[in-house]
Amino acid sequence: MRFWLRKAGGTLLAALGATLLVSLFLDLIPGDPAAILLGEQAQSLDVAALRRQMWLDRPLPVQAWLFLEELATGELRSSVPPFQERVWGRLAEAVPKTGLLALLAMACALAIGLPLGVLSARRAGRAVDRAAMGLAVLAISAPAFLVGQALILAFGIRLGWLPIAGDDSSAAVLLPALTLGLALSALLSRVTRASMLEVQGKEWVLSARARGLSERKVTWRYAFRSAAVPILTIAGLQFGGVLTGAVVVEKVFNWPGLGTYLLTSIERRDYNGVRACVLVFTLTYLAVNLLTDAVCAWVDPRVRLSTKAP
Amino acid sequence: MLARVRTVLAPVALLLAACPRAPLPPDTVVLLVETPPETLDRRLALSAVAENVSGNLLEPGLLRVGEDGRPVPDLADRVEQIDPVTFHFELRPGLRFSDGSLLTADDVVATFRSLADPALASPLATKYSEIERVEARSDRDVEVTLRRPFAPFLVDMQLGIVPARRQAAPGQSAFGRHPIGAGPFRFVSWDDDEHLLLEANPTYYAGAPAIGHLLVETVRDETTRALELRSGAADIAINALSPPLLKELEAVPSLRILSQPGADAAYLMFQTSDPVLADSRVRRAIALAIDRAAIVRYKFLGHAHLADSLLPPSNWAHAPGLPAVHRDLAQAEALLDAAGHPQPAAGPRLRLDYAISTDRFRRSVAEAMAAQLAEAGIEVRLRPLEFGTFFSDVRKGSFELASLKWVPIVEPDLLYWVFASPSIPTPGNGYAGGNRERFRDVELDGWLAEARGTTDEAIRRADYARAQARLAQAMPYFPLWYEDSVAVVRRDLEGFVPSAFGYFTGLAQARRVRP
Repeated sequence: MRFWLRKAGGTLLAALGATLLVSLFLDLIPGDPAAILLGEQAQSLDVAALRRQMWLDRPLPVQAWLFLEELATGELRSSVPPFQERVWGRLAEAVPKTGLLALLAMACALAIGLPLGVLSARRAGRAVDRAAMGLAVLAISAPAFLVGQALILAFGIRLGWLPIAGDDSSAAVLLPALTLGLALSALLSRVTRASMLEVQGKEWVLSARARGLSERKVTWRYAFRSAAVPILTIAGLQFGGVLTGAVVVEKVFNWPGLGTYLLTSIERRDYNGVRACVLVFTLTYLAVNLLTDAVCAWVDPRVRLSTKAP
Repeated sequence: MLARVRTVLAPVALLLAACPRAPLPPDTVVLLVETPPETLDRRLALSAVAENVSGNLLEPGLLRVGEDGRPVPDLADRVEQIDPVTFHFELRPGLRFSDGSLLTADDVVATFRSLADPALASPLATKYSEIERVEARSDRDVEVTLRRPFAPFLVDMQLGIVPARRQAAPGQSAFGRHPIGAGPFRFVSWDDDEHLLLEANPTYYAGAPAIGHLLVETVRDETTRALELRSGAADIAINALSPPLLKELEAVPSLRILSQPGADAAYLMFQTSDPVLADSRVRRAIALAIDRAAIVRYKFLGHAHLADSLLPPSNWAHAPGLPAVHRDLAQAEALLDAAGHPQPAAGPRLRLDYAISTDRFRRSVAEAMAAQLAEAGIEVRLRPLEFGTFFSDVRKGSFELASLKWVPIVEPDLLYWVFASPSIPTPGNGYAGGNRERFRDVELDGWLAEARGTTDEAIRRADYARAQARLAQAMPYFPLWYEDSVAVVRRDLEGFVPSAFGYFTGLAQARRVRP
């Protein structure tokens, strides 16, 4: 109980810090957003009025406080004219979209990365292993926008199997999820391989094998389960990477999620939108880390949830 | 185990259920845009896309702008000038909003009055402050009185007319999300930012368009826009692709590229208060060292035309017979010699900073120009800046050379904003002024002031002709090229007429033909 209370407190502090930091960074961006929005023929009168409406005449901490206050009351709107769009409404549309994309990407990464890693470990040093690891290095290094466009060309245009962009059909999520999942699957396969190799020679694996259990059972029930903790930890940590990767991938595939909302907010200089997106990213990242801890404890009973060092 | 699987799958199923949107009506034409409109209320629109969708598709005004920049009838079919400051507009008979209600003079009055309403907080409030009052004389007659004679106001009469009762309603701020206008299209839905669905408006005075539904879809990535057109997922994109991608699409049999001279003018601006650039010989030498024809040919792949003035040739006020500037390195070097910048034994004659935006295509154009200038002994250091910084520097006049473009040029009074000395930005006027090059010419000021104070087109035309000749000679700006207005259209979409201004108006004439 105490563990969860402390974690919740830490999360709250991190959220507050993120909001303040983002406000600071937004403030550091050169150029007057009000003047940019009004464009060429703005009169000084209009600029001053718009600055007031955008809270730009207030000190930084006050801006951050106003943001949190209005967010809490559900009244928060975009901070650019016409000041109509409700931030909660936008988040309610965008978060499920990015959630679906991230979960599928994660599923994709696990579905490809784990078996590949296990296979590589069992055939360590042989051709299969070398080919798999070579591919992994390639997939980690290739930027998402390149992989995305290559996939569009292959599956969307040449083969015509999948929609190339947008969210008009349920199948539209597959290509962006695959793009996002590929790099992560490569990383996971490498971690899985290393982790599996490490436990391969451990006593409990050897004893399982000595008891005459099938190779499949030895691999998955005994070796993999104890190798899973580092894999899960990395997967959890990389979830943050999935979220940031989503910004790029959503742009390429025109997927109307949180990344798209963030980019639109930046383009429009909608500071409230930017703050809200960053806050959601921060909270999700923290929540996933917490979840990873819990899952690790569930998978490997040697792990205990505690704030004290063992 | 099964229970565990279920716990994991439940949220996924929930998310999947939230996913696909309702299918589009089969008669939908998909228009691609780069960014979503921020509002559909013309009175609040700031971005080009919001102005275009709200003003040209949903909420027309009393007048609209013809291809030559002259105002032409839209909702009003007759305009009469009673005295220098009073104008009489007569509405077309039987006008209706898209919800079927009548559009009367009261709606016009309410629309213009609302601009000054602090509750609406329209960014156009100052722009329309030249109007003293707008009054209804009958159901179809509106009288507009100005504070002083001000010719450019007629072009501003494109302001979209919205229903009076919707303005008074308590939920007025929601108007921009559910607009009602009297345009060729009417609003259907706007479920998320990227997908705005419109349909043909049966009450449009010129008859409902042949396109049943129009989806305005935002696709931010340029390559994805090109791929969507190529695959058939989208039907049309207007000024939303750069020349290198246009070249790729030219080879696609299902697409047509409609290119026509546009009204966007790109320019090179000189800081005339800089001691070196104050000398008009140096400015001219720079202009002579640039090979614009090569840039138009190899960078724009022909999708631009050489400029001789800030006003495009299609504009009614464009002066004919302005001197053409062609690349002449020998003359450029002679001018630099005369101006006291001889070629030293080592190093360049001159070093200048050139501020540009970080846009990939614009940078490549600037790099080409820098290479050409180097051949005349002028070393140009490119300073690509993030748009906020770039625009802030430009507004304050802190640059030596800078490039931007004016989009699109409609009313020639722009010359007053850009070149008249009262338009020089200072901290005192909050940097509100377009004469960022700080050019001063008393005679020019006089012509430009006279031209905005009269509606006599002959006088205005003569003033602008003198002004353009003076500017071509003194060269505070070097007008580079007019960028073509380019629409990429699927072959089965016929009848679309591109506009020099990049307006979406031509969609009202387009129709889908089945192959």
